[in-house]
Amino acid sequence: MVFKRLLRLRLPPHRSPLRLLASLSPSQVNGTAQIPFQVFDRRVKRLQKDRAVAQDGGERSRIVDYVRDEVADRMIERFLDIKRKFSSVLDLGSGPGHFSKLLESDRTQKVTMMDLSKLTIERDPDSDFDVQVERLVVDEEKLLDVIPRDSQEAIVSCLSLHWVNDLPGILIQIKEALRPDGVFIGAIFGGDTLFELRTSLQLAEAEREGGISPHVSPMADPRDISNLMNRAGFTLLTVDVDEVKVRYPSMWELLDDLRDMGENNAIIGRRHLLHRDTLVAASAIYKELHEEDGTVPATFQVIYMIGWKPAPQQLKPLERGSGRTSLKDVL
Amino acid sequence: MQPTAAVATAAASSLSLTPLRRLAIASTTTCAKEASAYGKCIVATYADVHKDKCKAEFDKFGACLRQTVVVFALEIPPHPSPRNSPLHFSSSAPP
Repeated sequence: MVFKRLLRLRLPPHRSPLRLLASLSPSQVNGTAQIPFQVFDRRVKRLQKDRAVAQDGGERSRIVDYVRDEVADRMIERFLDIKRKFSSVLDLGSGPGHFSKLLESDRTQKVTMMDLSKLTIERDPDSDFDVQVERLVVDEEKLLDVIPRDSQEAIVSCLSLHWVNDLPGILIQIKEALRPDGVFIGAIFGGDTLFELRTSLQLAEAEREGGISPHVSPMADPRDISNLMNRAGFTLLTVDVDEVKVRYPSMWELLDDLRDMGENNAIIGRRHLLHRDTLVAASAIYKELHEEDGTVPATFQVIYMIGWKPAPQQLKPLERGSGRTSLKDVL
Repeated sequence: MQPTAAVATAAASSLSLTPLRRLAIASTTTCAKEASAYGKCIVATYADVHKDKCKAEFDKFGACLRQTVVVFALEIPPHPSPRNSPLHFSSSAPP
């Protein structure tokens, strides 16, 4: 009788002494498909971002702003191409405000920053911004819980949607939150990002341990992005792909910087330990495969997308057969 | 292979080297030759990598690393807080 009662006590797996090295297994896929498949652990991502900003009072996080600042620069060019004055812009997954800091008050009156991590969004003071700032600490996946439908003139997202579990869903939410003839400008990491690191780790892990496990997130393919934007209901799409290549002395500095950016692995079912042998093997392989001039490169492929919410007054393509000028006369 | 005096002094002068940093220096600078031999072995056969494909080269690499890290440990006082060392992390989530 005593034994049966003891067996009914359920110990949480990570406290059991026999399972010290076990990792939490990935959550079961819901058979009725009510929730999208969870790839990333959002709670862990928030903790990682908080921790990255907490190092040295935010100084380490500022040192590694270079990738996001570069992409924000390229995004603001696209934003400025739109000849319109905005009274308010929503910056989804803003981080400390890489994109919002570049907005100017003659074109935009107010920016609402939204990010998962409170410490990140509050890292930089209001004095760094030219426009009025409002901060919301909200998970991007819950956009429509906080922002009413048909309310935003412009939504931007600079390099944060690659941690969202349901990318098609978030694009639909963005479209719903926009006013008719509102614009969405996004930059997201593409599939080739950090391919050097991904392949080096895979080769090292296969050779040293006999298997592979995910260390670099799965990221969107440029070809899929235009499909996703169409499915979400955006019109007048523009999708283009760009690359930022950064050189590091070795793989170790790249890993340090990724951690300081808050971009550590947050895939559900990831291995929590990276064996020393695998790490040094990966560093040797990375160097051998990719070294140039004593440094190793890391590629960040960025996909920029611009989409508009349909509105009656937008220009639409003409009906087939309504053309009046023949190309033969012109050429 | 003995680590060069330059690397040892450079390492010794920075007392806040974590074990991971020491491993990084050892694997990229001190044992660069063995690392390169291992890397070349993998690159030559990367389409068909399986467990212990390049075991011989890695064993030499590992021996050099162990020797280097021991020398570092003898010359530098051990870093006092193992919790700061990423080598000892067991879970990304806090307890």
